[in-house]
Amino acid sequence: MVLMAWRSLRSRWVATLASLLAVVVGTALVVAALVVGASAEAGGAAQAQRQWRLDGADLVVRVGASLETSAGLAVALNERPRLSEAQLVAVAGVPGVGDLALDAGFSAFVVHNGTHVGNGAVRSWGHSWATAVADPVRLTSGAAPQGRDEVAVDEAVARAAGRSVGDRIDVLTATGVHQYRLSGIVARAGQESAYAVFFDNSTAAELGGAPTVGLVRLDPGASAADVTRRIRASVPGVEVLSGADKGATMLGPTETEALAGGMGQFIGTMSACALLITVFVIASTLSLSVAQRRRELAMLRAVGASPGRVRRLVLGEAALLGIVGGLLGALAGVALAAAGLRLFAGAGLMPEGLPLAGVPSGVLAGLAAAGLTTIVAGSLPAWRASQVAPSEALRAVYAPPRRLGAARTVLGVVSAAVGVLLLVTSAVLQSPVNTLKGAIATSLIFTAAPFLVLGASLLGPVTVGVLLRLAAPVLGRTAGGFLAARSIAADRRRAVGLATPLMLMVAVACVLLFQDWATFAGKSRNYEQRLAAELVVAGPHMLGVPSVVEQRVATVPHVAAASGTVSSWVYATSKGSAPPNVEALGVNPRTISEVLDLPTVSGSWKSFDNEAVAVSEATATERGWRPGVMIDYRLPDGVPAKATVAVVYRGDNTLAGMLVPRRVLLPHLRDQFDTAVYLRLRPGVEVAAARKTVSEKLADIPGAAVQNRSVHLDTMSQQSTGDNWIVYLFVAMLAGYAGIAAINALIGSSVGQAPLFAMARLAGAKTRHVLGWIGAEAGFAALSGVVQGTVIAAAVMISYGYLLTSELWLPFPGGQYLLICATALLVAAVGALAPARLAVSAQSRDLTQGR
Amino acid sequence: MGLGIYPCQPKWGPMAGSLEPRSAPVQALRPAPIAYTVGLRKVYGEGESQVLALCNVDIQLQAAEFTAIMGPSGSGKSTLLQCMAGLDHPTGGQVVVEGVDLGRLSPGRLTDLRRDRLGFVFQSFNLIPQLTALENLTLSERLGGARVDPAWLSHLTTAFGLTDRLHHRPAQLSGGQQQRVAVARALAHRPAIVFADEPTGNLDSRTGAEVLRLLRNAVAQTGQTVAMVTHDPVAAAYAHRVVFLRDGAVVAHLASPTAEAVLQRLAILEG
Repeated sequence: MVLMAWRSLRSRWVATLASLLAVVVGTALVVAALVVGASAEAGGAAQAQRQWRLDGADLVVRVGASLETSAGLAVALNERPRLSEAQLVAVAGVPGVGDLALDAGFSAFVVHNGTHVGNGAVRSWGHSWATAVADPVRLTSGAAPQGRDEVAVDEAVARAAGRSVGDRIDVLTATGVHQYRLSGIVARAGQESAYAVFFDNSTAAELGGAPTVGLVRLDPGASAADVTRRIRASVPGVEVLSGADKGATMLGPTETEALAGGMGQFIGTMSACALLITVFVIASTLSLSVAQRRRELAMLRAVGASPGRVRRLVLGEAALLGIVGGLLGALAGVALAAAGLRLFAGAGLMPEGLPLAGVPSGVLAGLAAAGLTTIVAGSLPAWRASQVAPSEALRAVYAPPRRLGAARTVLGVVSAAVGVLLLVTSAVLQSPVNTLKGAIATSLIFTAAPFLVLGASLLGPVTVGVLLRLAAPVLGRTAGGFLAARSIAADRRRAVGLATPLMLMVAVACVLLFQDWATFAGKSRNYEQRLAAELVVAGPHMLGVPSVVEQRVATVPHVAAASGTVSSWVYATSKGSAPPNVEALGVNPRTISEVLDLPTVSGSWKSFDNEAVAVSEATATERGWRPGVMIDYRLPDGVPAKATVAVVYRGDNTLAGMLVPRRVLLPHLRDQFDTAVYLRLRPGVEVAAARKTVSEKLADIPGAAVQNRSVHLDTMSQQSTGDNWIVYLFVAMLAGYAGIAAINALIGSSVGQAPLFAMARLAGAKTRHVLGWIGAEAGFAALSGVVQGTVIAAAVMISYGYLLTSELWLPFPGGQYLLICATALLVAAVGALAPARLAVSAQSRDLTQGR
Repeated sequence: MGLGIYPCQPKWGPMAGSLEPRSAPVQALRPAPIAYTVGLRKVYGEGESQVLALCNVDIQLQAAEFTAIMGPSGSGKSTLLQCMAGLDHPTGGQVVVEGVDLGRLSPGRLTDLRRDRLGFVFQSFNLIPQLTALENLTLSERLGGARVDPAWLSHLTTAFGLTDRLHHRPAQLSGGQQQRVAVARALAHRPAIVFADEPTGNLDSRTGAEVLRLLRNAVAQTGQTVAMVTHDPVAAAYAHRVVFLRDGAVVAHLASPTAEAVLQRLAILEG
């Protein structure tokens, strides 16, 4: 059986090679995704430990960053909780604890030439000198900072700012820019991942607020294990870390999570796409090969092979492809993972120098995926092969394949219907994307895509038939087009074999690529709708502006109202099934309704003050809140808070579900910078003049840009179309992969067509006629694939756009879409070269016998 | 050249007395042939594996005549047909069709000539499976050939009993029907010569006879010239004249053949 499968594969080596390549690429992507994911996870912790070692401290104490819901579920907090005075006293009082030093990281950037040293990827944090001692850092020059006016910085920071010990140095914190004297420069292992600016302990405490970390030095002779046990026993809620785990404490909870898992999940999605495409590629290749070999298979059946034997023959081919392709793909996958880690690190998406992890399990999973995929993909063609009647061997004439199986049509309709149902359900759910219902609606939309794709590929022959009827008048104008139309009508499977991979490619590429763009475009649309401010103060991307800006601009006479906004999450205990997380926007309660246009549903903006909150209609409905109700909730670091619901507003699906006074929210954030500050001007004030005055007022704040409404909206939309070149890379790979399938289908189909070309030649067709035939057939199939892919992607993206904005619009960036279509047509053109070569060499004398 | 190995001398020469002389005196009185070959040679392969398929063949096809070409397997009859129809390039010699030397034509002109002036019928029918019978009949017109005369087409389809089969695809037709479509296709554009290569090879004797009768009628009623390769003495008996080939050379002619006479000649040829 193996020998037969091998011979059969060898006799069609071009198609076989293409299938093999498909399996290799599919497996490689899966293995690479798993290995990169595992490496990121293993490396994330290592990375967290590398930033800070804290080897100078014997133990580190902190408060656990999770919250238990009434249902007993643990919810991760967005911010590291702070240690209370009582907890600190208790820890200090535990026998064996010698010295307890404290730290709370806060945003602190050295300013050089009016810009930040550091950026959104490499942040800069202020710390107490005690942390430097505990790490321990090495002073390369100067001394520890003393008093309120001195700082020490990392070597990398000093270099970037061009400062040496004794120089004046400007540091930007939430309170604005202050000048310090550079007392010392330190060498620190983790300085490449995040910069540090060290203040003396009391200054750090003043700027950073209550500590998040306690650095414990033990009394001489005390046992770390004993002290750990004692702290845990006597100070509830406090976690004690020792050894290599200590360093992770210095990072925010979400930061650690992002380092560990973000990339893995992304790559997981991509490899799932790759696997899906592998199934299609192999299924279509084997189907074509079965279609071409009907006579041969019929002959086998005629000489006594049972249907089971024929089925096993085709499955054997699939399995052989799976094993060989899987092994090669697994090797390629490990290499790809190594390259991927370097690539992601280079793009700043992952830490540098992560070692490969999880290789054996990744390879095994890849092999299993390859085997399973090929067998699943081979089953349908194998079944079809076993249905070939022995009598076909005796027929003199090439018999066009039978009609579509009813099972296929039913399955296709069901699959497409499921896809449509998912989209309709998401439209019915229609909730803000930051709520559970919204998240479900989002995932329903993107789950619909594979169902629609599956439906389209199963119903491919039907769709191609309909499209052919539409295109027939155009095709019939030339002899080549006429032959192509007849040839497609007689055997739609060949056109489907080309159209399906292109449909897949266009659909997958559009959905993956446009999703990010659509999110930002949707948010921008909503943002534009609600932005009532005439001027906006924005900071550099991901950095924002220090919270002091709001107070400062509020004093400008032209300004009637100003509100900073800062994003975070709060947690509301709820009776129902709603999860506690609520996206919150910290705002100035007195002015927010003037700078953002938020229609009132009930209550009044007038009663929104520092003891109140405003909630969106969706949040109010979800939690049963209404104006006047007193609610209990938790701030981002888990601290309990109480507030009265002042107003319920009609928010859109991308706006936070709750507005919390900034004054309440900010002390509970590590990064006390506003995303932006919105200004409403006094009546009659000229925008340009106001802009000038405000800019002057903020001259010392690095990166603060005062923008009028239209410039701001422009900037926002440009910010969004940034760093998704990795998605591009992946889409390019997937496109190439679908391309292989398309080329494969064309090569496979053209072999079967060679005698037809010869017959046409005999009837007087010239090379150009036959090339026209091939061109028209490939062109039609490619276009129908592009049309189908576009329709699917449009359905998915329109649903997503509707979810985001409650409006029907097509979130397709035109240029990118055209590029995808052009790529698809190029793939078809390249694929058509093979049959074209055959067509040119087709000789009518090949048809006559007796040579 | 490998021709040195093959001196181009048939191993088997004409048998004096037992067969007609190669050039019958009547031929001199006939009008100029519609197609003829002069010293036609065809060699396949090179060196050791060289095969001499045709050896200095001179043959004439007379207008409005049905010529059968016969010979044992490997005698070169199909090669001769292919060379005469411009489907294959001779190694040496000349093929002239309607006064045109095929060797001087570009591939494009050759295709035009085949489309407009020649018709073909094959053992395996060679109808394009995706096209209906009618579309197969008028394909040359679509490919830029002359318009098929509708009256002629309707005459053909009626005479061939295809009127109710015109919109069927080849797979929906019986073998006999397919071959009738193929013959009609060969005649549809009123070619100068129809070349038939074992046209009855895939048919039973009754349907085969029907196809042969159609070819013979075309010659008799419309003056069509037909050249047919066959190994079936009964089929050859429908022709006006039989040319016998052996080892790539013309070894005998037989005018007004009967099946028995043909069989007799073949028996002698195959020794």
